[in-house]
Amino acid sequence: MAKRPLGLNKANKSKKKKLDSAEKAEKAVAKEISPENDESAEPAPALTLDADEEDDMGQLESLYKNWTSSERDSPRILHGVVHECDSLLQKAKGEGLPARFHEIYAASLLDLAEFADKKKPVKKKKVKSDDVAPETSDMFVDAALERVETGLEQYPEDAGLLFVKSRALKQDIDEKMSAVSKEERKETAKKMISQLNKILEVFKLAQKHASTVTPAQLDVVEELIELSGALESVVKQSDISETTLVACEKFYNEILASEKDENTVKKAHRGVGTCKMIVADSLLDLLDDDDEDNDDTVELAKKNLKAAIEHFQKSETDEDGEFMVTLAETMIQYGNLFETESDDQKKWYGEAVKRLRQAQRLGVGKYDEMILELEDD
Amino acid sequence: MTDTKRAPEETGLPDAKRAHIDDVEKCFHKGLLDQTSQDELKTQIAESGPYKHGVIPQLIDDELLRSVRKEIMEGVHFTRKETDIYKVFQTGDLANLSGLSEEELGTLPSLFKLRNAMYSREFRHFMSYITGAGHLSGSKQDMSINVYQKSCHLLNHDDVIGTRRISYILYLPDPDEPWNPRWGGALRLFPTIRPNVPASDWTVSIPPAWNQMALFKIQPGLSFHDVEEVYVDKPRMSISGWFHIPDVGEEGYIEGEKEETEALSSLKQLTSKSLREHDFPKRTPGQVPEDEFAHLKEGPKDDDDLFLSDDDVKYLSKYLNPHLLTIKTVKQLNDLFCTNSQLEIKDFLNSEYVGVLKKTIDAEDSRPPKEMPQVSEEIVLPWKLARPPHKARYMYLDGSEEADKEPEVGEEEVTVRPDENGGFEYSETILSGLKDTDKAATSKVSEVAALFKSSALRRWISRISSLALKSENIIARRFRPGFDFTLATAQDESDIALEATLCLTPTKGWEDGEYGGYELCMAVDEDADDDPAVYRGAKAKEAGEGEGDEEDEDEDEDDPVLLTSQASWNTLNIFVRDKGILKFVKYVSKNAPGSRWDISAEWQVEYVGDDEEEEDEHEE
Repeated sequence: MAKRPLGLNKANKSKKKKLDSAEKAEKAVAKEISPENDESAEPAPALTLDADEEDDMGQLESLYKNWTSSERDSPRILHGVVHECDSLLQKAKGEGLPARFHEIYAASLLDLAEFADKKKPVKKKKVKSDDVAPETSDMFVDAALERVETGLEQYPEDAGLLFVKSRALKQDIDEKMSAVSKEERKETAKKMISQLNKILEVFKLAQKHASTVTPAQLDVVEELIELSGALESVVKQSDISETTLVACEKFYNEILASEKDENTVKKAHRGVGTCKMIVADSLLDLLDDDDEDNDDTVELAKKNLKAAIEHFQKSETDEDGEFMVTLAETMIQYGNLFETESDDQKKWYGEAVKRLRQAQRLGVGKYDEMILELEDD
Repeated sequence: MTDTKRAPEETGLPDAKRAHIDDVEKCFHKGLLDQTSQDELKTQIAESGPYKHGVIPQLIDDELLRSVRKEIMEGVHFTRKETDIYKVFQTGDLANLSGLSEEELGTLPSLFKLRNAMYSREFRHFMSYITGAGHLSGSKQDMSINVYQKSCHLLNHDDVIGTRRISYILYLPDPDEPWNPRWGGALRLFPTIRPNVPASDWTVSIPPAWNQMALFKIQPGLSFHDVEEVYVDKPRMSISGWFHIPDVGEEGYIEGEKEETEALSSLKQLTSKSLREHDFPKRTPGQVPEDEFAHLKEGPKDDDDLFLSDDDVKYLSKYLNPHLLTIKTVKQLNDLFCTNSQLEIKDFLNSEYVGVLKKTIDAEDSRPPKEMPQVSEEIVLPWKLARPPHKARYMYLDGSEEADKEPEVGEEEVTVRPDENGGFEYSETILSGLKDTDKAATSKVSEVAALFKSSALRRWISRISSLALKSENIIARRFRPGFDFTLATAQDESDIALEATLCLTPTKGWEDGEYGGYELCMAVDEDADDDPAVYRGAKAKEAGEGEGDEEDEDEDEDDPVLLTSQASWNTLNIFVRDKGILKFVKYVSKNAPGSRWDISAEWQVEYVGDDEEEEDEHEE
C-alpha cells in the first residue's frame, strides 16, 4: 500500500545512485514546506482587484494598494498601475479626473524612476508624459513633476498632490546632481540650494491642508536633511545644512504639537533626534580639531546628545534593530563625554549594550566585540 | 637529572657534550633548568588540583620564541578544521609537525631549534622530574601548531590516546599585547565525579600568556580539560603536543609498557555500562500504550484517510498550523517523507499560539547573559543539566520534577518506568523557584513538549511518516551561548528510529552557522582513517601522499553530512535515523544572539502495515 521511508543514510545512497544515471541533477536533501504559503510553483503576482469593474478609480486604488503592500522589488505591478492611469486618461479625455488620480499617477512614476537606468550626462530632453514614454530615471521624475502640476492646476490645495510634489522636487535634485559632470557639480549644487527650502515650504503647505501626516510622508523631510549635508560637502559652504536643519527641526516640532497618530509622532521624534545628533556631531568635530579642551563645546554637545537620546527613546520599537544600533551609537558618544569609568559613563554604556544585544538578537549585525569593549572595566 | 651549573672542567663531561647542554639551556628561559627552579615546579605540581598540572610562566628564551612566532606567521599555512568537538586552525597534518613539507621545514629553522630543545634529553629529564611521570621518548616528537581564532574552541576530553604521558601547551599570543582573560582561550581543568566521569563545571582556568607553558601528566580517567572559546578577533597561537613513553632502545623503555598504556586508552574508549549510569538525561523511553500502538500499526484505511479523530483535530488545532491538518497537506507530506526520509516544516505551530510562545521565550532569552545559569548549581528545577560534559552539556526539561541523582559506585543504574515519565505538568511549588520570565517560558515550552507526548500528535506523526510509534523520548532543551552542545553519538538501538526536532529559537542571525547551534546528522564511513566527525575544512593534501591520492579522493568525495538544520524559529525537522548515523548539536558560541531552544523527540518505530510487506519493500 503506502510507500515506506528508508533510513536517511540509505535514502541518500539510493538517491546518489539515481543521480548518477538521471538527466536532472537534483541535489536537495531537505524538502521544505511552509504550509501557509501556496506550495505550487512560483505564481505571478496576484493582482487582486477588489473593486467593482465599473468603478475605474476603485480599480486603480486597488491596483496601487497591491503595489504599496508588496515587497516593492519589481516594477511589474507599477507598470500595471501606469497602464491603468493611461487608460483612464484616454477615457476621460483629460476631464473630470480626481486629485487622487494625479497623485497615484505621479507617485507611481516616481517609484518607477527607482528602477529605471540613470541618465548619462548629456543634454536633457524634456519629456511630456503623454508624448514619449520615459526611459531613464530623470525622464520619469520629469513626467511625475508634470503630472503633479497638472493635478495642482485643478486642485491647488490637495494635500496628497503637494506631498508627492515635495517628493518629486527632492528626487529632481538627486537626478540633477547625479547626471551632471564632475566639473559642473559645484555650480549645480549651488543652484539646488535654493530648492531645499522650496521643498520644505511645499511640504508645510501639504501638512496644512492634510488631516494627518503619515510616517511615509515624513520621509521627505529626513531626506532633505541628508541632501543638505551632501550639497554642503560639494559646495563647501558650512551654513547650508544648518539652515535646513533648523527649518526641519522646527517643522518636526510642529508635527509633534499637532499630530496624534502614534507612528507619525514616533517618526517626528526620530526626526528631532536626528537634527540634535547632527548638531552634536559637528560640535564633536570641533573638539577633535581643537587641541585645547573647550568645556562650553563639550557641554553643548552633551546637551544636544542628551536631547537626541530623549527623542530617540520616544521613537524606539522592539522590532527595529537598525534603529537600536543608531540609538546605541548615540548613547556611546554621550557616554564618551563623561569621565572615564564614571557612573554616568557606565550607565550610558550599559544602555547602549542592551540595545546592541537586542539588535543582534534581531539579526542586525554582530556587535559582540563592541559589547565586550564596553563591558570591559 | 640536570645539575645546577658547574664549571666545565668540574663536570667531567666532554667539551662537545657540555657545549650541547649549554646550547639546549640557552633555548630556555634563564635559570629554568636549575635545580631550584625544578624543585619549585615539582612542589607546585604535586600540590595542584583538580589533577596534577603545572604552569611555567616563562619557558623559552624570549628571542628564540619571538623568532619562532615570526616564522610561523610568515611561513606556515593553516587549515580550518571543525568537528563536533572542536573548531581550530591547524598546520599540515592533523597532529604533527612532521606533516610539514620539506620546503616548509627549511624555512623554519627557529621552530626546529625549539622542537629539538623540547625533545632534548635535558628537557625530557626536566619534565620527568617535575611531573614524576617517568621516562619520556625522544624519538616520538609529537607537536603541532594551532591557532584559535574568534569562535574557535575545543570541548571536553582527557587526551588519553595511545602512549601519551605528558600533555603540554606552549602559548604564543602576540608578545607585545598581553592577552586579556576576557578574550577567552583559557585551558580549563575539570574535576571528576568518579574516574572517567568529569564534573560539569571546571575548577581551574589558565588563560594564555606569552611564553607560558601549561602541562599535565596524562592520568586516565582524570585529566579532563577543554579550551575556552576565543571570543574576539585575536589569534591565540600555541604549540601543543605530547611526550610519549619511551620506545624500544630508548632510556627507560619497559617491555610491555606500551601495550599496557594503549590498553588503558582503548578500555576507556569502550562505552561501559557503568559509565552510562552517569549520563543524563536518561534515554529510557516511555512506551506507547499497546492498543494505541496496534492502531498505529494498522495505519490509515486508504490514502484519503486523515487518520485523526475529530477530537484529535480539535486538540491539534490549538497548536498546529491549520494547513497541516488537511488531507491534502498530509498526503503531500507523507509522499515527500517516504521519498526523502526527512522533512523540514516551517511555521509548524499556528501563528496565534506561536506569538504568545515567542514572547515568553524571548523575555527569558533576552535577559543579560550574566543572569543565565553559569554553573550547574544555578540550574533550578524543573530544569536539569545534561552531562557529563565530555558527551553533552545543555539545560533540559524531561517532564519530571525529580532531580537527577548520581548513582553511588556499585549501585545499579536507575531506570525510569514508563509511567514515571513526566507529563510536563509542573506543580506551582516547583515553578515558584524560577524567576518570572523563566517561569513563563518554562510553562509554555512544557506545554509544547506535552503536545509531543499527546496521542493526537503521535497519530499525526504516524500518518505523515508511515511509521508506527512504539516508544518515545521527549525533552525540551536550551543550549546556552558559551556553554552548551552535544557531541556526536550514534543511534544503535534499532535499524531505524524516527527523530524530530522542533526548533524554537527566537533570535536571528544563525543562518551562516558561525555561531554554531545547528543540528547535524552525518553518515559514518567506518573505513576512513580521519575523525569521522570532521565535516568542515579545506581538503588539504595528507602529508606523505602522492598526487595520485588526490584524484582518488575526488572520486569518492562523498559529503558525509546528511542533514544540517540551523537554529531557527518554529521549524520542525523530522527524519528516519539509520543505525550508525551520528547526530550532534554544535557548540553554541558565547557571541550567539541568544540560546538555542528546541523540543527533541525520539521514537522507536515499526513500519505501518503488514510486516511481510517490509521484505518486499526493501528489495532493490
